[in-house]
Amino acid sequence: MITDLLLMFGISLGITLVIEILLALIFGVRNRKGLLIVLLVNTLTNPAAVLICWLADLYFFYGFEFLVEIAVEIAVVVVEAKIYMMFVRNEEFEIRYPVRMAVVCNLVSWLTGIVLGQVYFHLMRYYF
Amino acid sequence: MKKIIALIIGCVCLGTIFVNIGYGDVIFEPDDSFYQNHSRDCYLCERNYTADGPDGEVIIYKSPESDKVIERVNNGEKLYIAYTYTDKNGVEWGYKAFGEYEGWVPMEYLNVIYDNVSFCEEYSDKIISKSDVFTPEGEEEIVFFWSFPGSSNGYEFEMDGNEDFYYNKEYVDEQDRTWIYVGYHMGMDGWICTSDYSSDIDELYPEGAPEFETEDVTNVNGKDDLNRVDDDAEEEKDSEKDDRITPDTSNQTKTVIFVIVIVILVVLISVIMLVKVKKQGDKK
Repeated sequence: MITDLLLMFGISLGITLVIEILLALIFGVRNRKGLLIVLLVNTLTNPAAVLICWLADLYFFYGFEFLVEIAVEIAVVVVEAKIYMMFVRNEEFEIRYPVRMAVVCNLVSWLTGIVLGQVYFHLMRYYF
Repeated sequence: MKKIIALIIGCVCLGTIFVNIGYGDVIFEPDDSFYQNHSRDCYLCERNYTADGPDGEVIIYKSPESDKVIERVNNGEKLYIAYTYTDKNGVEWGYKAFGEYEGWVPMEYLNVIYDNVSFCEEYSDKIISKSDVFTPEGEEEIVFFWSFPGSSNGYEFEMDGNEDFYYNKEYVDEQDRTWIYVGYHMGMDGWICTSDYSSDIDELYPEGAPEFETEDVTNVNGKDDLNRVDDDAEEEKDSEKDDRITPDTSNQTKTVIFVIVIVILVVLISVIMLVKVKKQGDKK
């Protein structure tokens, strides 16, 4: 079970990092320091978000998990936007649109997670 | 840049919709996290059962590994089990689908309602595997599909001219009537009585349809003892209460604590590094 969980956390963080770093590049964050901030922000928020959703799934009634997921996503966007805003003044990090970047990056990675989750589930179901 | 961002979001949104529509299947797939994580170990069941647990009830759990109670169902209530799963202790669990609540129940506390599977098991020696085509030649335009020969559960099928029914099983009943099993025909499946294909249950069985009883799935814990009227009945009930099958959550608490500790560590390291990077940036 622990292996499955670590895999779940790892895959989730890996996919999120790939998507958010790619989107950060589109948002104009091109240097190492700026991308390091994006990476650290995600290692800060993603495992915590996945943990809360997993605990909700484990202990709450079904139907409620989705609400928890939405609430967690909103909280993640707020936290990430706040952190990015701390680095806006310093041009060295090239973070110019903290709120927009937090919203878009999380929306895209969340929806991609849903798509990949469904694809993975159906592939496992039908081919293994 | 706005266009690129909008394009990315649009593509992902469309992907979300298409993935959910595109994989739509005739076979029911529960929207259940335990099932989704263990789908390879779950087996299609699709049978109806009646509840028959200790203390007059069956408990529906969130998963075979979570003691979260979803609902308590009184004995005698009908449950549709879509999939089964056997845990590491060898306990078989069934996924109760549809209705107000969905969840996992120990199969030991269920009695299967007599159905086609039961019929095929009971009459396996009289059912012949035979692939052929049946074409009704009478004037009637209706064919009855039955869950199994003798079942009161029949569905009318209106034919569009002379239709061919492909079958793979044949059974001759005590009245020498031939029944064929059609696995699929225009969304229908079931048994057709070839000699009286348009007759309803009253015409097929003027003296009343045969009765089929529900059967115990297993009786490992001696459930039937609950029905025995003797001096030890209450004591046995108490014993059953203590022995009730519950989800195995032995490792759950340890796992939860372990995962929480790991996540806290990762978060702390990230915060420390962010602060460090911020300070370095501020110095410059």
